[in-house]
Amino acid sequence: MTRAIALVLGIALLASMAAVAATAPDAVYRALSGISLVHHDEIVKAFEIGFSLGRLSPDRMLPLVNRLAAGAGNPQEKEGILLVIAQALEDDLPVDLLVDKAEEGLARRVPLAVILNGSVGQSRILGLIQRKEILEAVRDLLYSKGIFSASGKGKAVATYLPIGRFDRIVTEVADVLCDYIESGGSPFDGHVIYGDVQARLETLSQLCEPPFLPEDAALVLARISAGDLTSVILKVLK
Amino acid sequence: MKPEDDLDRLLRDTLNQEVEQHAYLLEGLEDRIRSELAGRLPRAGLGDLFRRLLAPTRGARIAQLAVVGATAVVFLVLGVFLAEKVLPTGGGSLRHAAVAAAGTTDEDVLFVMPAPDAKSVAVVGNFNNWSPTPLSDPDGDGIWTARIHLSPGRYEYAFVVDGHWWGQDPLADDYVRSFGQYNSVRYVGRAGEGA
Amino acid sequence: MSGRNLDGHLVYIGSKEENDGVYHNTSEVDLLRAALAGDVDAWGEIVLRYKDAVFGLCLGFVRNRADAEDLTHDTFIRAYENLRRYRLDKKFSTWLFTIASNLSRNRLRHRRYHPVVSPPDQMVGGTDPAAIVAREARQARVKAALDSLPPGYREPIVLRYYNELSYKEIADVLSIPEGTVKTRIHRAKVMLKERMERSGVMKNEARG
Repeated sequence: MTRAIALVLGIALLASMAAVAATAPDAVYRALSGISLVHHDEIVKAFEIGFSLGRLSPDRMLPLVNRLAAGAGNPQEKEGILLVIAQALEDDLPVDLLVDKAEEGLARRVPLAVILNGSVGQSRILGLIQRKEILEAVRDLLYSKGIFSASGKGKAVATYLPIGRFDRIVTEVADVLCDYIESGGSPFDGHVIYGDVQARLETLSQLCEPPFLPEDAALVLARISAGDLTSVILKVLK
Repeated sequence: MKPEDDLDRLLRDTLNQEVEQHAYLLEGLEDRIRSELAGRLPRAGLGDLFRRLLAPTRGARIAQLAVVGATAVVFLVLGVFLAEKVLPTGGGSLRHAAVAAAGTTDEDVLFVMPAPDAKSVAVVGNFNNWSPTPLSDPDGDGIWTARIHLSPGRYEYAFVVDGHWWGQDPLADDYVRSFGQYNSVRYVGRAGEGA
Repeated sequence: MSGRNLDGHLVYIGSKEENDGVYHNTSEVDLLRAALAGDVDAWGEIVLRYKDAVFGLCLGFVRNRADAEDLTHDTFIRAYENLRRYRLDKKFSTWLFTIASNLSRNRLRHRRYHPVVSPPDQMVGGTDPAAIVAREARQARVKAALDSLPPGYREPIVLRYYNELSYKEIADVLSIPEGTVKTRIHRAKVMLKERMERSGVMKNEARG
């Protein structure tokens, strides 16, 4: 009897390990070795940090890496896409925005160079590089207003938000700015940008399972100004 | 002052030449800075924050770092603890529909696309890694539908009709630009609203 | 058009016409007082006078053109926002360079490697006569040697040979003792000589 139980438990354990292994970081690293990367070690190291912080999820990275590996395009550009994500992780930024846009771009069969660098044609397209700059500028803006992530560096009078909530706010504000730029809005209409940011933060914070709290949204909206948002956009656009 | 040697001259020349080479980047900088500063709204009370951020004296900085270090440790522990509680799923993967299926606040969101002559219709979005989830038209009336289980959040998506992306769903809450095209946006989990 | 006065400050040398721009001949102290009172045009004149110096500092520190451009911009914005902190009886350039230096060092800390994606700097005069080519090659080797210096050694070199600050001023900007400044510059020059000898630069210099 005990042997049967042991056998069942053993199989269950192996099965669960296999299930976990399917979406484990290792799968992502294996997929990465299918792309020729000059900065392979650095990228892996940054991804390790991302996985451990919960900023990268294997479920989302694996399809992206697989698409990159299998798709057409020059290796330098493929590596460029992975490098921007890796650098963002190194720079202590949330990367959901970058991973999602990279994946959408690949799905739309946008040329890798455009995914990476954007383009200024009939309509403006932001590349991952510009999006990362916006993420960084938004993060730094929040820092300058005394709003910090619990894991980040902080000073003096400050409000600390748990990493998840802080990251999500940075991501959403950055996403609003990216959309604003791509829609051709003028950087100088700060009040319009502020309104867009307000709408996004308030709507999300009022969902029944919100990614951050209404008071988080209120805090950020109270401390940033229309002029701040103009500055962020100008910084990235020049 | 000691007489200059060859290296001194070389360093001076090289550094100056580098700056001259890139001087064009600084064209009009004073105007850009001027307009940027002129466009800002006056703010009160933030001077204090900036002053603290830029304390040049070492003593003040060490004191600050000590306070910061202690506070950071406390908040780091608190933050990790609270993050587990506040976030329904692991950091960042809030939009991952399949994994979150167990939550009671999830909804079956109805996607509808009228496409009478289409051979295939699918939806792609940030909830399925932008890989197609097919819609179906069982009664052949040209209205293609699919129900997708989504947890509360903000979702961007587009329809793919016979391989062509179409991002202006009339049922969407909002629209955004993406790669020069449109994506549709829906919020799931708004109080008192259905799919 | 800008040049340097005896203190090593970049100053604006232009026409003395009264009509030609309000702030041409205004003294630095008056400009700063006006800027402190909210006159952004006065600050614009400050930017004009110091942008080369600040850019040169940042470029020397971070060795990346795009970053240097950003940092220059950020320095002037940050300095304006913190003008209240600046004491009018101290040297303005030192204060400004300290801000630039801090921002640059911070940037370096976050960038541990150069992205593959940024385009390489243009080589000027690629098909020009031999002398120009030789000079470019020599300067390229100096630049490479500078790139390979640890930042802590490179910073005083930049402040000394580009910004032409005194040892005391360098010590203030970098927040290190004056003695350390002298040691670092001496050691940095030894390192640079070694690296350039290896690539043949110094031998050329000795010959020429």
